[in-house]
Amino acid sequence: MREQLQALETVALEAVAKAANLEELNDLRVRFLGKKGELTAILRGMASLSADERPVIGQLANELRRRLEESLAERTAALAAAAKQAKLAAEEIDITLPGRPFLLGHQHLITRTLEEIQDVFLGMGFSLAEGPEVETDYYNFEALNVPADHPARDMQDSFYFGPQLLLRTHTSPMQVRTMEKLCPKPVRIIAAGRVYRRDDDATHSPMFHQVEGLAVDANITLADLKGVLLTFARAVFGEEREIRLRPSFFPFTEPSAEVDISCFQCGGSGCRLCKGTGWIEILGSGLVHPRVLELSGYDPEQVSGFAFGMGVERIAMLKYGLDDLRHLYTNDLRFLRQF
Amino acid sequence: MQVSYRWLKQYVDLPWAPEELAERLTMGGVEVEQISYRAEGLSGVVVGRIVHLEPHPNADKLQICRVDVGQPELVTIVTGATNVYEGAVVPTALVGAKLPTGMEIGHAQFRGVASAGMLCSAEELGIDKKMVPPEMRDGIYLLPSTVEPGQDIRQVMGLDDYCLELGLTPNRSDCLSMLGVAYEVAALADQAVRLPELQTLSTQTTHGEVKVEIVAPDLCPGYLGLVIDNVTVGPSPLWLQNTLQAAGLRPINNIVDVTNYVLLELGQPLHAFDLDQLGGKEIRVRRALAGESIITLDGIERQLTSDDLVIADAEKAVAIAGIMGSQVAEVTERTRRVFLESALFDYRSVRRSSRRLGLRTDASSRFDKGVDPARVLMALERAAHLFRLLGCGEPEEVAVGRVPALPTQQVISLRPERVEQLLGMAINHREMQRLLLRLGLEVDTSSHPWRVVAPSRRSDLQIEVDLIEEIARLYGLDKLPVGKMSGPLMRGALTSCQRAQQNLRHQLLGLGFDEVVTMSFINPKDVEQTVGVDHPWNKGLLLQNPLSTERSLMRPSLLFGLLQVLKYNAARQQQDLAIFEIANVFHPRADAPCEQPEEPLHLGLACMGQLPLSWQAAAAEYDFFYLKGILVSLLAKQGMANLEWQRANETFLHPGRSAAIYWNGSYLGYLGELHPDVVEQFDLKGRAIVAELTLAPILKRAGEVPLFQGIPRYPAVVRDLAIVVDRQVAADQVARVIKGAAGDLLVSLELFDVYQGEQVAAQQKSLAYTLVLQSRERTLLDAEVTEVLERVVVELHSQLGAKLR
Repeated sequence: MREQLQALETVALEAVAKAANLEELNDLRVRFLGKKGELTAILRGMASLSADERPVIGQLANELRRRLEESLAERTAALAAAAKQAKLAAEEIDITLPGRPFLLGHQHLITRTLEEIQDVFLGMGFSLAEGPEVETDYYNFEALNVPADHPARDMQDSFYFGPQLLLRTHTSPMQVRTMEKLCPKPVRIIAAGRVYRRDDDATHSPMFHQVEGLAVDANITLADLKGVLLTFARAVFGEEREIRLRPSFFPFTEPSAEVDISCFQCGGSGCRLCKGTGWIEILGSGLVHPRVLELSGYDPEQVSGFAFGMGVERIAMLKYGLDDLRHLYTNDLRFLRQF
Repeated sequence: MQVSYRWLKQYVDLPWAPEELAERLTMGGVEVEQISYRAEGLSGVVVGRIVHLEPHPNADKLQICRVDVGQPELVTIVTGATNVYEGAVVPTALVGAKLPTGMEIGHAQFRGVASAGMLCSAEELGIDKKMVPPEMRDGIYLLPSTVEPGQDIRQVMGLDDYCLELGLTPNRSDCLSMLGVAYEVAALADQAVRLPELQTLSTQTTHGEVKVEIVAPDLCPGYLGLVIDNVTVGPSPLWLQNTLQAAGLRPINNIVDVTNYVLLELGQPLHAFDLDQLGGKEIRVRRALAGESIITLDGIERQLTSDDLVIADAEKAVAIAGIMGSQVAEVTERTRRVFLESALFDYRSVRRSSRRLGLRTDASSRFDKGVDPARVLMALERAAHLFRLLGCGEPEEVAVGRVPALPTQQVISLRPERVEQLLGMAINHREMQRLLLRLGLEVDTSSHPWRVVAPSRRSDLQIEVDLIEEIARLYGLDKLPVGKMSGPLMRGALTSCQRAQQNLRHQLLGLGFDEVVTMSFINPKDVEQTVGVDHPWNKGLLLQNPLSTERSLMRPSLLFGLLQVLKYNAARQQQDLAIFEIANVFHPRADAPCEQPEEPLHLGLACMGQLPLSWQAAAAEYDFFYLKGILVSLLAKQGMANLEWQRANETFLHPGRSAAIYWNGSYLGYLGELHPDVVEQFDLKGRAIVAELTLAPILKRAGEVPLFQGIPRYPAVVRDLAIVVDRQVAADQVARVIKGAAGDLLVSLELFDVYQGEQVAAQQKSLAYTLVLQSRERTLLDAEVTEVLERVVVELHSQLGAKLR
C-alpha cells in the first residue's frame, strides 16, 4: 500500500505540473483527491491493514493529500497569474491615438485684455462702474468741462442721434455718473466698455474699448497717480517696466499727462516698436479738473482726484504683437484661436 | 504746426540740436510728432544756368543743355523737360549727386549724346509737389534768374534745415505761430525772445478812404484794415519762398506770401483784398443773407446761412469771415491797391461755419481756437514792414472798424504750498517763481497767495491749477516721485452681477465656444431682409451721422453680428464653429424715442457645422438639442430649472425647430435653427443654430445664496419605464404627467430613449425613462415603489393615452 501511495504521488505531481489550465487542474483534483478519486480508492484497502500499520499509512496518506493540495494551489496561482498577464497583454491599446476632442473656447483678445487690466485695479481697491453707451451731451462733454463749441470737441468726433444724444466718445461719462452717485464719499473706480468716434482707418476703428480710472479723496496727488499706474504697467507689461509722465492736455484733467512705458521689446534702447525712443505711449491721465469735481458736487478745496484712460485695443495690440487693429473685429477663427 | 528749425532760430537762441529740441518740447508738453531733415539723402546738386539749349538730333522729346555750374567748363545735360529755356536757373544734379529718392547720378548716354548730370524737379529734391507753383509741378524747378550758378542747392533753397511737426493739444493754440513756439522754447531753455521788426502804425485815423462798418459786433470783436498803395504783384524773394515751403505752404505771390508769412509768424490770419474790386470802397462785417452764396478761392460755390459771418463790400460778400476769401476781390497780377484785413472773429462762429461748410483753412484753424487780441495790430505792423522790405507796396493808413480790446489782466491766485500738495512733490518756492517768470508771467510774491498775471497769448491760463500744470511741466514731471495712495481702505471687487457675467463667459469658453466681438452698428437692410419689414427690430435707433448706411443702426439684437461672423468664416473654409458674444443691444423707448434707449445686456450664441470629430464616434452636427442642453445647464447653474419651451414665432428661425424660452412666466429669449432662407442669405454652407438671451434676470440671481439641503440618508430606488404614445404628444407633457403622478418621492426623471419606427405603430413613438425614487425619512418598500409606478402608468394612459411598451 505504501508503494501504491508513492506511485500515486509521483503520477499526481507530474500531472499537476503539466496541467495547462484551471479546468485541467480541477479535473486532477477530482481524479486524485475527490470522493471517488484515486486516493480514496487506495485508502479503501486500509481495512485490511494491521492496527499497527493503519496509523502509519493514515499519516502517510494525509501528508500525501496535503502535498497534492499545496501543489494544486501553487499551480492554480501560477496559472491565474499567467492568465491575467495574457489578458492585460491582449488589452493593449495604441496610446498615441487621439483623445476625445473637447475643444476649449478662446476668449476674445479684447475681453481678455479687459479682464487683465480689471484684475490689476480690483486688486488695488478699485471697483467697476458701469454706464450707458448712448449718452447725453451733458455727461459726455459738458460735465467733463467740454462746453459746446470748445476746441477740445475736435479731439473726439462723435456719432449723434439728436442734438443732445450721442454715442459716448469715451468712458469718462461714467466718472461723472459715479461721482454724482457717491458724493461726498471717496471714489475709487474703473469703468470699461465700448466707445465710439467717427474715425475709420488703419489705426482707428469707429468702435473701440476703453478702461477709465478715477480716484477722488482728500489729498490725492499726482504722485499717487504715478504709483498706481506704475503698478499697472508692471503687472501688464512686466516687472522691469518704468513709466514716465509727459505733460499733455485733456479738458477734464489739470495738470494732464500722457503716460509712456519703457519699451518691453528693446528694454528702452530703441527699436521699431518704440520708434527708436525707448518709450511707448499707453494712456492719458491727470488730476481731475476742479470744474469737473464741482459739477459733480465735490468741493475741489476739500478733495482732489486723479483720472486716467486707456484704449484696450492699443494695450492688446502692444501686448500680443498685433499688426492690424482690424483683426480684432473681423472675428476670423484663425485669429481668435491663436489666443 | 510745422516748425522750421532755421526759422525758429531767428526768434530765440537754440541751445539744443534739432533732436534734443524735439525731445525737450515733447517732455515739456508740446509734442513733436515727427522730425525730419529737409535735405535727407540730397547731395551733389548745385545751381546751374542753362547757357545753350538745342534739340536732340535723334529724339523729338529730348533737348541738349549746356549748363554753367560755376566751373570753368560747361556741362552737357540731356533733358526731357519742356519748361526750360536758355537763361533758366535750375537745380542741377552733377555726376555723383544723390537724390532723396535714392537715385545716384552717373554718366549717361541718351540716343548717342553723353549727359553728365540731371536737371531736377522739386519732387526730385524731396520737396512736396504741392509746395511749388503749378507751372513747375510737372517740370524742372525754376530758380530766380539772379541766383549765382555753382552754389549748393541745399543752401540756396534753405533745405539744410529740420522740420519739427508739432502735435498741438487744443489748449496750446498759442503755439500755432513761430513766435508762440519761440516763447515756449525760450521758457524751456531760459532764453529771451527776439521780436520781429515792425513798422509802427496808428489806429488814430482821421480820414478813412475805406469805411468799415461792423454790423454784427457780437461776432467781430475787432477789425482793422491797412491800405497798401502802389502794389506790384510778383514772385517773392527766394528767402520768403523757402521759408513758406519749409513751413509747408506754397508760395503764390509776394502779397499773399506776406500775409501767409505773418500768419505763420504771429498766428494772426491776414486777408488781402484787391481794393479796387471792393464795391463802394466799403467793408461791412455782417451775417450772411438768406440765400446768399459765395464762390470761394478754391472755386467752389458755397451756400451761406445767417449763422455765417461774412466780409462784404457795399454789394456782396467777398469773404467768409476768418475762413476763406472769394474770387471776386482776389489779389491778381493786375492788383494795384490792397486792403489788408486783420481782425478778430468769434471763435464759436468761425468754428460752426467751418464745420458746416467742411472748410478748414490755415486761418480758420487759428480763429476757431481764439487768437491773441494783442497781435491784430501787430500783424498789420509786421506786414507793413515786410511790404516795405520787399518793395512791393506802400502801406498807407489803418482803417479802423473796431480796435480789439485787450482782455483785462486777470489776476490768478497761486498758493505755492498747494502746488506741492497737489503734485505730491516738494518744489522750492523760489524755483516756482523763476519758472513762472520764464513763461513771461508777472508774479507778485509779496503777499499770500501769490498774484500772477498771464500775457494775453496764454489765454489758456485761467485758474490756479493751470499755473500748477505750468510749474509741473517746466520743473519736469520726470522728477515726480512714486506715490502710495493714502486714505481709507477700499474694497475692490466686482458686484455679484459683474462676477456672474464673467463666470458665464468662462463657462461658455469651457464649453468650447469661441468669443467674438462685433460692431454695435449694423446695416438696417440686413435686418429688413432677415426678419422682414414688420419686425419691431426695424424700428431701432438710427445714427444721424453714420460713417455709412451699412453701419447706421444700433443693433436691436446680437443676431446680425453673429450672422456676419458665420458668413465671414464660412467663406473661408471654416464652417464648423461655435461662438458667443456678450454685449448690449439698443431698444428705443416707445414712450420717449428721443431719450436714452434701453441697453439690455444680451448673450448671443451661434453654432454650425460638425462637432469636433472623434475616431471613436460617428460624426455629429451641432443641432437644436446641443445648444438647448448648454442653455439648460447654464441656467440650472443659476438656479433656473423648469424652463418653459414654447414654439417661437420668429421669421428668421425654422418654424418647426425653434423655441421661445420662458422662466417663471417671463421671456428670456429664443433658440432655434436658422430659417433656410437666412442660411441662403448669408451664404452659409448648412444648418446653423442660434440663440439669444437677455442676461439681466439671469445674472441677477447670482446674488442669491443657496442653502444646504442635507445628504439623503436612505437608498434610492431606480426603475425604468417605457411607454408608447401618440407622436404629437410632447415630451414635456409626458414628463409633467409622470412628475404629477409620482409626487414627492420622484427625485429624478431622465428620458433615455426616443424611438419611432417599425417596432411601434405608425403615428406612435416610444419614450423610455429612468425614474429615481427616494424618501428622506425611510427606506422605500418594494410595494410602495410599485404603487407609485402603477399610478404613473394609469395617469399616463388616462391623460395621454399612453401604453406600457
